[in-house]
Amino acid sequence: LDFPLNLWDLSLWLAASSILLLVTSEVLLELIGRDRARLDRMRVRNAGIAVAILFLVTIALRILETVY
Amino acid sequence: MRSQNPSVSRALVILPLSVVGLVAVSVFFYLRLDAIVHTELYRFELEFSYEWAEKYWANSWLILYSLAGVALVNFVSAMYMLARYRARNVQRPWVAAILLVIGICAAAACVAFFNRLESIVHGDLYRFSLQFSEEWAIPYWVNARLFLGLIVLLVAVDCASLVYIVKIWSIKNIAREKVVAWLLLLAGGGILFLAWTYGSSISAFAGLGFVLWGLVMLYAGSKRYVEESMLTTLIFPSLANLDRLLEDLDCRGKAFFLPPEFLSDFEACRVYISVEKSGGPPKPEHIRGNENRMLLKEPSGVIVEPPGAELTMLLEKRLGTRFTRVDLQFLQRELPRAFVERLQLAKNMQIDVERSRIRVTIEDFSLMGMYEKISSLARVYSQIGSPVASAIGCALAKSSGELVSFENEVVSQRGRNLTIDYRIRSALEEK
Repeated sequence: LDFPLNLWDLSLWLAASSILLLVTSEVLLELIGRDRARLDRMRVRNAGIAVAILFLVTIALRILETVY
Repeated sequence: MRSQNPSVSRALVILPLSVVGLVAVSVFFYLRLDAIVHTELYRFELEFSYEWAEKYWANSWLILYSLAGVALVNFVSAMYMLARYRARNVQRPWVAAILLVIGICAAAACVAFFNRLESIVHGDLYRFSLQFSEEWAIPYWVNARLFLGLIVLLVAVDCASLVYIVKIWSIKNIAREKVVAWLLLLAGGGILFLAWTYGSSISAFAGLGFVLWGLVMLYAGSKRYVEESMLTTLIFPSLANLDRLLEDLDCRGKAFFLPPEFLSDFEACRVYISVEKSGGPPKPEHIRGNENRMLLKEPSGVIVEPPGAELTMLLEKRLGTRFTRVDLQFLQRELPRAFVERLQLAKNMQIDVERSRIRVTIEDFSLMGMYEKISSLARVYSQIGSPVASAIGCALAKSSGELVSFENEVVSQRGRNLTIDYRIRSALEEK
């Protein structure tokens, strides 16, 4: 059995997820109130950046695949 | 538990028992469907062969075992919660939660086995001469849809029970975010497994999303929160003692936050308060070597560790530096970031420096609750300021390398904003 997603699909998903995480980190506290937020805003932002880096890695892999 | 919220506790017994009932009804529909395959289909030229029969029976038994598993864990969960209900406590509700998660996984496995069985009926059996006819297909589909609908319903009921358990779960021992995170990870893992099995890319995206958010919640939701009133309760007695000390010593002068130049230990935080109301700033030679004593004879005053000293150190830790190694511009730029982004204490913070005057404005400050009580401590509040004001005062003295006097601290009328004024030493000397 093969996994139903290829590298391109994962790349797209990583891009969308990183945007979602970064937007969440920016609007989370304003939306639900700083006193009630149970997520650490900085950590959500770090997670968003980590996912964005993974997206860039997939792009780099794609470029390498095209070049070689 | 009964006395506090009887409807929730009863629900945790009734919901799993209703799942047992749903399993019984779904088994009824499944047996009807099985009867169609083993009787009706032979009328439509199906030829018996062990080749398809063994695969069919294997999946059929797996479906029945999965359903038995769902019924068993839900029954045990209901009995467990009934025992807890009678004992009037909600200790270890995670036992019931784990049982329900196992039940949901068993139901998911049941759906997977049923899909394999459907592929045998709608695929393999045509190779054994089966002729399609709506006469057998419609009753088959009706029973299959009813069976699957009931499975979805019982999973929904189990999920509702889990939500109830998380709702009543005490946050003393475990953070709710962790429970939600693990549920997301489990659900994500299950969906990914099904996506892998059936090659469904949409399910794979959904499963990856669940797993990602589960991991984010585990990573970002690991802080423990306490009520704001706890903070006031904990710090108030020490502030009250300091207030009585200043009252007894009749210290009427301004508070000066001491820069490293005045101290033997550069990283220490100290504040000097003169006994005389018009007392000026001290000289470094008067303080150095005496900073660990409380009473100072020449000039007459007291040296204390300000209430916000630990907060200053926490801010240094969060910024990854020492305030003695940075300048005022760095503090002006980075301290608001530490307050707003790292500690999430305020919506906005601004430090304005105008010659010798420094004004710190904090908008929508999270810890405003403590001001109501602290403001009753006249000496501390008017001379040193709140713990936050003294923490910022220490940071200003360390980074500027000069004496900083506390001038004023004002809470806005709406009670959410804070304005703190300081002055640095050079201006005091000119005066």
